[in-house]
Amino acid sequence: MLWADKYRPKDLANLDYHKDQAVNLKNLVKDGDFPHLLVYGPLGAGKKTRIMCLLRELYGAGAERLKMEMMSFTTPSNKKLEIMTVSSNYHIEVNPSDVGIYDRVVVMDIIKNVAQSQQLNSNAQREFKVIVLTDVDDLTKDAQHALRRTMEKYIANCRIILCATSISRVIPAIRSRCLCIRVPAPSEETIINILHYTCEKESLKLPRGLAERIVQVSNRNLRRALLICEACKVEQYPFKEDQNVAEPDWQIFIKKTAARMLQNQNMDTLSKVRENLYELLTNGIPSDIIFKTLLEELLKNCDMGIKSKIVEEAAIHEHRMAQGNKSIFHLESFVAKFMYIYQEMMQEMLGDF
Amino acid sequence: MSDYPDPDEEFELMYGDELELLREQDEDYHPPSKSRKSLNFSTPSSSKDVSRQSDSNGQQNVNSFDDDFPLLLPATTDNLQSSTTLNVSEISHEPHTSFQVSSSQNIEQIIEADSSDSRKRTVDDLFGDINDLGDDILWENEPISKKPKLSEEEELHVLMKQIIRLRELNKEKHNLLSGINKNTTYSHIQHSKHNLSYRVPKYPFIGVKRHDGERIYVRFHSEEYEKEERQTIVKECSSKGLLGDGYKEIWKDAKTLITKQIKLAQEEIDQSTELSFDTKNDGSKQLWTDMYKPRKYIELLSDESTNRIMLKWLKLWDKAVFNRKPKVKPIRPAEKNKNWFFKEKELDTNMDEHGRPHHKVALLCGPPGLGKTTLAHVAAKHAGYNVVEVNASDDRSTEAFKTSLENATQMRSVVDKEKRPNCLVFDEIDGAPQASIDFLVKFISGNVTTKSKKGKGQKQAVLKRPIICICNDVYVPALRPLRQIAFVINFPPTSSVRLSERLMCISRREGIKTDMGAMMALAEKSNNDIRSCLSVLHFFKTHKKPVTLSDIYRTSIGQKDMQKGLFTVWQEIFQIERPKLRSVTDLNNISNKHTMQVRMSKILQTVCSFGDYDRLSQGIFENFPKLILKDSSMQGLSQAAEWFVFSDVLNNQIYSLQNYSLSTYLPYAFVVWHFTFAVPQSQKLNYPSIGYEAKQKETRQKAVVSEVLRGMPPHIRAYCHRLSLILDILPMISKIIVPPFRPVSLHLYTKDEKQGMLRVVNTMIDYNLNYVQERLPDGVYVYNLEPNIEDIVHFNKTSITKTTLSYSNKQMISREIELEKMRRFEVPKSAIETSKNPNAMKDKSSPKTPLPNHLQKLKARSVNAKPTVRKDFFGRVITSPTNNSGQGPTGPNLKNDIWYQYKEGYNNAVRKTIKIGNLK
Repeated sequence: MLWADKYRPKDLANLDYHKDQAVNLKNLVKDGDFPHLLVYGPLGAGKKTRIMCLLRELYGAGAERLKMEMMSFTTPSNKKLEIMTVSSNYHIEVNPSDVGIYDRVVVMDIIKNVAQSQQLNSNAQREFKVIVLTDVDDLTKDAQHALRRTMEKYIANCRIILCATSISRVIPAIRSRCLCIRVPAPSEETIINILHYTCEKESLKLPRGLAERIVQVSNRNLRRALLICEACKVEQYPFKEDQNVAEPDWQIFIKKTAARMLQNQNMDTLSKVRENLYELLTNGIPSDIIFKTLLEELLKNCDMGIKSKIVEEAAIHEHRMAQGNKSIFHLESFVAKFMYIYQEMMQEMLGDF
Repeated sequence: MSDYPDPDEEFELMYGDELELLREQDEDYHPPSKSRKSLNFSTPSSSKDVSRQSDSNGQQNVNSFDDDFPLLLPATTDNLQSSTTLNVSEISHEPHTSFQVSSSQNIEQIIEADSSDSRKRTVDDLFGDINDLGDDILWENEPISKKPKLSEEEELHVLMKQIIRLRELNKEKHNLLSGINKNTTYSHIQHSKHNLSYRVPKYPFIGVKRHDGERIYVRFHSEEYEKEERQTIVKECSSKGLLGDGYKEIWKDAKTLITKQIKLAQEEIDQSTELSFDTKNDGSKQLWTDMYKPRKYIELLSDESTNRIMLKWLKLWDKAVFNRKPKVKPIRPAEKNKNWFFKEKELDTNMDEHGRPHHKVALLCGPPGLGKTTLAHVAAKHAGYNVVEVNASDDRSTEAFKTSLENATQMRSVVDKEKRPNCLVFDEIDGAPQASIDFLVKFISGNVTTKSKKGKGQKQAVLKRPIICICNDVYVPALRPLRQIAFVINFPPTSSVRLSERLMCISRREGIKTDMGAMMALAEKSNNDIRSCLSVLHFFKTHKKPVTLSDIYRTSIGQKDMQKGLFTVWQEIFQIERPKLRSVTDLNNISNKHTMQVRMSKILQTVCSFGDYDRLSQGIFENFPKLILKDSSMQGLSQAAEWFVFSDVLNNQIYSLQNYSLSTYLPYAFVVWHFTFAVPQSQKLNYPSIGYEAKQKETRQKAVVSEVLRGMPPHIRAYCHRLSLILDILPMISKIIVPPFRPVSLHLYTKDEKQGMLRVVNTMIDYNLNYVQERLPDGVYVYNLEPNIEDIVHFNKTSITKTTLSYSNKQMISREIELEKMRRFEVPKSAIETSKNPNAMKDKSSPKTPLPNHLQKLKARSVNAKPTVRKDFFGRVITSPTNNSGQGPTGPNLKNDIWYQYKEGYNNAVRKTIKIGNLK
């Protein structure tokens, strides 16, 4: 078992960070009732962990007895859809965006299914079940609109916990119907502590310097930090301060791409960069993450003068990318723009000399 | 002219007056001679032979010759051998025949005939034979039915000859010169004939002795007569071209005459057509496209080589279609013999082929209005088929398709008096449903396979009729299967010269006053679309005014929204068209100042008429980095790239919100790209495939991730979702699961190493990974990760040196994973068991691990037996300890009623009981 899974806290009380939030959640549950929740935060911040802890707090250990089930739905156009759900006796978790544009059907049907089966023995447990919807920000507008009415209608029988990385793409109507809980990424210090704690449990000795470097690479993503740490252990143990820190390949790849862009600004680079971008996209790296990583890498090597300009361009392009469909166009447009700005700057500098 | 016979002339000079007389007499003979036309070629002789022949023919003819000519009539009727009369009749017939001959011969012959003397005439006589043949050929449409009887080489040969001849005939239609000149030759013959004699003539004469001793009597004339005669002869000679001036004069005269005649004829035609057209307007209201449709092969306007290929292909069917067994298709006996002959030959050489061409279908493709349908019809008719057409207006469901196919290929019209085989023409096949085309393909190829099974002799559903398919776009997906088996003929555009000539001809007939230039412009404007040209002409006809060049340019009609090919459009965007190549659209505003404007409007127009912006922009996007660009600075590129963004955003708006009004703005992006990218030279373009490939690869990778997700145990799955899997877990897992194992057996591992192995195994199971043995093409076996996350995780495959496990390690891990999975599978079972009997809960600490069913049974017995036995035994032992020591080992065995040990296998040298649980 991976450390990330092995040392995952199971109880709200055991959480390592954001303890006050955990206390709040505990109090929320103690009352026996709670509103719909919208949990959001960056990757590897512990959203899912909190949600599962919350469920355990609600229903006890029974919530941990999970099973996977294939549920099938039929769209109005008679298309059969199948979607994987993870459920216990008390809750069901589903990622509606797995079925693409038919997510509306899934959202509506699943809520109705759950809500219609009322708890007979009301004093035994809670009188409501919980539906966990993940990746809400990837839901289509249709599905989100379908959600907002059903959410209110069946509140007697079910609570919905929504999970998203960012609420910017969740429509305000849903945001207002939920209690929004932000789970920020853990601070670097926290991650270092957790790494040390984990290594201790594994009876390993982690040098401070390595831990810091791991945290730096992990980008405050706890899951990634733990995984990297484990990978480092596999690669070389006992740990050394200056040990090679394994980084995800895609990140290295984007860095290389950025370096290429800074090196040369011409047509050749553009087509090479395009190849790289295509490869990233085909391997399932989301375009916004490519965008962000790329920008970060580029900014490291930019003059202060053009930084603001580039960031502005990046913002414009990313915004357009959200409106568009083919992200390669947007990425490449940004690349071309950056190369143009950078080239001009370089020429100006040369002109000064 | 040069070899003009001198003696003849001399005689003529001398006996001019007699000639006059004889000419008169000859005129009388016209009627009888005509009746004997059939005898003309029996004696191909020149007039020079006349006297000699008559001499050799015997006495009886002498009298008749010397007597008055009218007396000859009975003689000729009685005795056909009389060569003189025959000659006379021939001569009198001469003007008539020569005209026919000249009309069917080529110009050289005609010129020869013009200047021919009596000797030349033999040639004409010889051609009398051909004359009749020519007559036949002239009306070639009628006897088509017997054409197919000929072998294909013969056929083609004759056909080509015909075409040549008919083309020339058209040119020479009104050339009447030959007829005029013939009269003069005729007079010479008269001269020589009636001024010489072997017998003693009645007129005054001088006896002359020939070189071979024969005596010849030459007519004697008076001096005055001679003088007069000389003058006339001189006159005549000049007319024959002996003197240049006279010849020229005659030529001029003839020309004026011809033009006059042409004019007359044309006026006549004009009147007649106008009349007929009027009546047609009242009645059937025929379209011009139908009216002036080519009905014969030579009238076809389309590219000659295409026509030829089409016809050749059709001719390839001759063996299969026309040489079938006579009882199947009764043909006229003459053909039968021929067919048998061919059949024999075919059976010898390629009977498996059934004499059918390799391609069973011809696929004609090209833009509309080039005459594809017409070609198919005309060629099929020409090759002797009865055309059955199925087009878009017919029901083309699979069922209907089947019926029409079977009807056309296996049956024949009984009502038709001409029993021609069918030729199926599928017009507009690109619009037919996929299922129908699939059926057609199956019909063509599927029967081929059954044929070989059944053998040669049987007649069954083998496709024995040619099928011609016609389409505009050969790259329609539905046509793909057909394209592979069909003989694809790409239709080149018609030459605008030929088209405009034809248009000219039609407008003349329709009485539209116009000129060649206008017609050329019209042809060019419509991109040589015959149909549209005719429609425009038809439209102009209603104006009842002369059509001029400016008219053609000014009117906006006749200009099609042309759909150009994908590559043409791309080429147009990437290439600056040279300004000298003016097209119809930009004629008015051709000036340097407006070039940009013109280019812009041109691109807009092209792109708009193409319509598929998505594919176009993708093509530009993928092509431009490889091309030489006008502006390859980053500024231009970033500008162009921004327009890609714009078009994508717009597209998304359009398709997600169905807001199609926005699509008006899409073409403008192409203008920008044109201005940034276009260069004057032509560029090599590729079909955009990267986008598609990327998409495919993406779905493949997605499937891999889904596979990982599907197999995860729920307690992992609950915390893990796709994105984190791709971004964090999988890249790291690929590193975590490859610890540096020693390549030795598991038994030799230290405890730590075993722990490490166990960890790897567990992790891999958690994330549904395993090593699967695969065989590479070169026969080497390898273990690959399944699902193969390596592809997803690793970028830039070459540069990264990934640590991998050895083959044996992978094998070991793979085995361990299977074992561990088995163990895990049992865990829930044991959990259930333990919950069932709470007593067993205590035993949990004991090494009694649950086992697979077959093992478990054995174990359970022995283990259960032991404690019970022991307990009982110990209980008793306390009372009798001596018993214990003596019966210790045998006790349990004796206790049971039956005890047996089952040994499996051949070898029981070393046998050790191992529990699955201990295999760790």
